[in-house]
Amino acid sequence: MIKFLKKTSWSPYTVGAGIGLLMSLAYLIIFKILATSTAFVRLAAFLIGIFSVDYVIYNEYFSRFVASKPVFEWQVFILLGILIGAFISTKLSGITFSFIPYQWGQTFGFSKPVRAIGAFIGGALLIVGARIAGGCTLSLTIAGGLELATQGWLFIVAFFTTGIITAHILYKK
Amino acid sequence: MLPNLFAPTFIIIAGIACGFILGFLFQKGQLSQFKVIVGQFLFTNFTVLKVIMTAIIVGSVGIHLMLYMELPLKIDIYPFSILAVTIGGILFGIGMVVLGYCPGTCIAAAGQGSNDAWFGLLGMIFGGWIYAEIDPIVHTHIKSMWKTEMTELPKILQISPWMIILALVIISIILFKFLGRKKIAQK
Repeated sequence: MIKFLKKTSWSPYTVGAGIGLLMSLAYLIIFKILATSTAFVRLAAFLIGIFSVDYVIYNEYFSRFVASKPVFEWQVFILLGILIGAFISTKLSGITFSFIPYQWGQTFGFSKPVRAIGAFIGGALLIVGARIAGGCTLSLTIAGGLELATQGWLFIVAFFTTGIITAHILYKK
Repeated sequence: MLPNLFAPTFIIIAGIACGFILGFLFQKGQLSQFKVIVGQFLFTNFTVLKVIMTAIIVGSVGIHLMLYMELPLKIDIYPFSILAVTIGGILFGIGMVVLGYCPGTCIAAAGQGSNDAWFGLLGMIFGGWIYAEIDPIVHTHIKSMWKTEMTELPKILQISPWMIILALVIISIILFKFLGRKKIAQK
């Protein structure tokens, strides 16, 4: 068992089955989906709230998340759990990772500040896109997908197609 | 500081526990690696597709079985805007390729020591703020357009969800067997 936990990687089928199982149990036991995109809106609201509570409360969108519910809600704790889980997993397998991914470096160069800015922009696009579409990979692709909801499958087609085109433009050698 | 900060303890514990398992799975599944995510879009690495398809199939069997057993589940499926999901998906796709992670796997990447992911997380929080600012425009001009009530595939196709799940299983088996053979042929 310990050996299994110490491996550097598991079969994608095992991982997928694990995620599917976890999702199903979450529906049954907690009545919630595993998701992440709203957490980032909450974190933004919290950070801005440190400087101006009024700004957050009077922003129509933010207020939806902080008015009737606590700021640090379900999704935020999922994020915390993911951070810890991934950390422990890496510690068990003993591998390290570099700041600049190889393919990124091939296209954009191996400067850390450039990568940092690129990552920042990518992250912003991810969340803006997720909030427009109504979810992220977990909530829309996997949860929506397994519910056989059209919204989920449309999202899969949209982001996969775009991803393929963008990746070929940016990283194909 | 905002007043109401923390959810009930049960939610906190359940959230962290589920997240922990998810983070572990992501990291072991290598989904928290740039080369795996981008590799999928370049068709050199099919981990992402394998994970997503397996998760959807296993999860779909899981919940439809629970629904069949009439267990109390809360499945929220609402009408949505085709325009919104398409535009959102496009932005998400671009972001995913530029960053090299999706939101969940980015946290996992940060946890595993890929420190570029932290800047991605900052960007995501920034994105949360941007969206809060543009939401009124998005709501009026995007989310209210091309709305549809055709929200469930089984209802649209007029077949049982099990048929769709079976189709997904068959497609996946054929696809992944084909990819497996192609890989052996390339070696």
